[in-house]
Amino acid sequence: MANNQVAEQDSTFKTGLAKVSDTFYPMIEQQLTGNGIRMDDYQKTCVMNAIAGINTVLDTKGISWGSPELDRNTVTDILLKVAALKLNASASPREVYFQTRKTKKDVYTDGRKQEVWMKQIEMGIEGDGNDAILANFGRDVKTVHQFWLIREGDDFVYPRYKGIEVAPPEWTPKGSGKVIRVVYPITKINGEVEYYIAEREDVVRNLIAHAKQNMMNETFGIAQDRYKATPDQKKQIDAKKTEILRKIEELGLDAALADEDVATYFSPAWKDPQSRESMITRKMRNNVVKKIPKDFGNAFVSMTYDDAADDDYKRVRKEINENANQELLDFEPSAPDKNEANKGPSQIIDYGNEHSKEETNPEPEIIDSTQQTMDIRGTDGPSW
Amino acid sequence: MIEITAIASGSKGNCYRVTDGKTPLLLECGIKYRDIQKGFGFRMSDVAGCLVTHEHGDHCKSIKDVLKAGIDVFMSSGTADTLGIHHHRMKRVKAKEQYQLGTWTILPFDVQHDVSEPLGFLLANQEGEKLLFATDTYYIKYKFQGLTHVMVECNYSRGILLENIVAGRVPKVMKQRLERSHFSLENVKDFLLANDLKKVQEIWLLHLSDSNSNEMQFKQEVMELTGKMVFVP
Repeated sequence: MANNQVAEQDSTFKTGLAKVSDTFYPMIEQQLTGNGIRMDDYQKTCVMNAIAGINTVLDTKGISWGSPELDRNTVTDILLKVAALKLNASASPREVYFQTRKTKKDVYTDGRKQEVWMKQIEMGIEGDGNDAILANFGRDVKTVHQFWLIREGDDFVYPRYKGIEVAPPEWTPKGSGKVIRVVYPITKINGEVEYYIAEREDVVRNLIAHAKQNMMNETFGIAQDRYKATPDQKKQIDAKKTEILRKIEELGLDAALADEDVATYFSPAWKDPQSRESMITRKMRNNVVKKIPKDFGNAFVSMTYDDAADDDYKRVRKEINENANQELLDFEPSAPDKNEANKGPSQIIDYGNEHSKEETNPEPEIIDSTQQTMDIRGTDGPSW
Repeated sequence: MIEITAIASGSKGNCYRVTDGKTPLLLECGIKYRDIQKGFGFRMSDVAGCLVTHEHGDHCKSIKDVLKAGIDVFMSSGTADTLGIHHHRMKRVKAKEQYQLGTWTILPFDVQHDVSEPLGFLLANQEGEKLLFATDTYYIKYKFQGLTHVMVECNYSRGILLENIVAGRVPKVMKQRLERSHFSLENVKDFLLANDLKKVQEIWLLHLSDSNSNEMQFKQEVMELTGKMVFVP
């Protein structure tokens, strides 16, 4: 009798992690199904491994799954991403990593809005994660082979082309010097092998994008902040930024990283000797892998990939999250004031009877008087 | 009572008539002047002023004709300088400096678009109604109180845009620009949620993209979110 009771208890016992999985897993499956994706076994494994990975991060930070300071929406979002993109958090080398970030959120309590600090989980895709995405979703990709890291001291011969025939590249590793090139041999569905190559020097473009982003709020002391800058100040700030970016381009990757003036605008991951080389290698790999077309076959997966892998989108998202809908703007208390009616920005604007007849003079002083309407010096809007 | 008429909306041209029953205003003049005249029933002499958000042609195509018609045109200095027009009816206004125009009090504010100095406008009439006009911006820094009418760009949906890119109907390079210049449905919804909508009577979704939007979907989603009357011109 006593043994039976123990057996019963054992059958219902679940670890905290299993309970967490029971909470999130059906939700993820339902959302994916709703977006036309039937989860396969590997995707289920990816979700479970991500939950375990997030659990480790939360454990180290001393945050429980039930904690009110944990933003559980971000967890759902991440689990959807790993499932849709088939990213395995337990793979070695790692395909994804998780980290926590403190953010301010509006919370409504009894109808009153309060700003509270919450912990969000963030996911980043590692270089091997991008390789996995390429292997799973690359258009006409059959196999992504182990990439080659070509060092300064290695012997390397570029592929040669004769018409449509290709003589493969040749590489003899010698094991010394910085990584100067990355080569990805990729077998296509039709059996052909293509060699995608990224050069170290081209990483300067990534560095320029990085510096540009880091300088987004920089005013060089010309204005108090970017939002308070006058058009003239904006022009001066833009000119200064352009000058710095041009200098980075002229110096080239290694010289720019060593230059103290411009290095102010680089993050430690780029500058510190211990992380610099891994960063450059990662960027070279990304420069190859991200450019190969993917076919996700589903708009939801495509959007998920874009959210997770598109650095530009991440930067825009960050900017919007930090700046949108922040400041309350309203009229000065005196307005609207009937006595002040018709008072313009710099003068009294007389709009009444004067408009009863259309003016013929004076003619607008247009810079290019040969053109009609606005086709003056304005710019065309986007055609979408 | 505020009355809004959309004469044109979208990348081919933007132009709206707004009146509180006393002072009619022209918001943007990005279409042929003849079409603006038609939209105003040829009563251009009633128009108290024209507000221009920025220098793109689809927002100020017929500015010369509007000036010539004796209508004051209000814009930022950056926009005026880029247009390169000098005319005594060009009125330069500054962000966050309110002014009166007939029965309207107008508060320009800075918006986020890839031009020199774009503006949005908050308008209040003497009955205490407030109209927000914001177009060509990928987000709005500000929140507003007591709005009664909202005219806001809702250019594209990220989902539709990505579907179009995957299908090859839209070049990928367009995405980067859109993300940093135009309001997406998703961001418009966040904006609406962040604002006090208690008094809102009408929401107008403006400047829908020809290829990356879906009028019915946009209208329905915003109606469901806000419970307000939604118009898509």
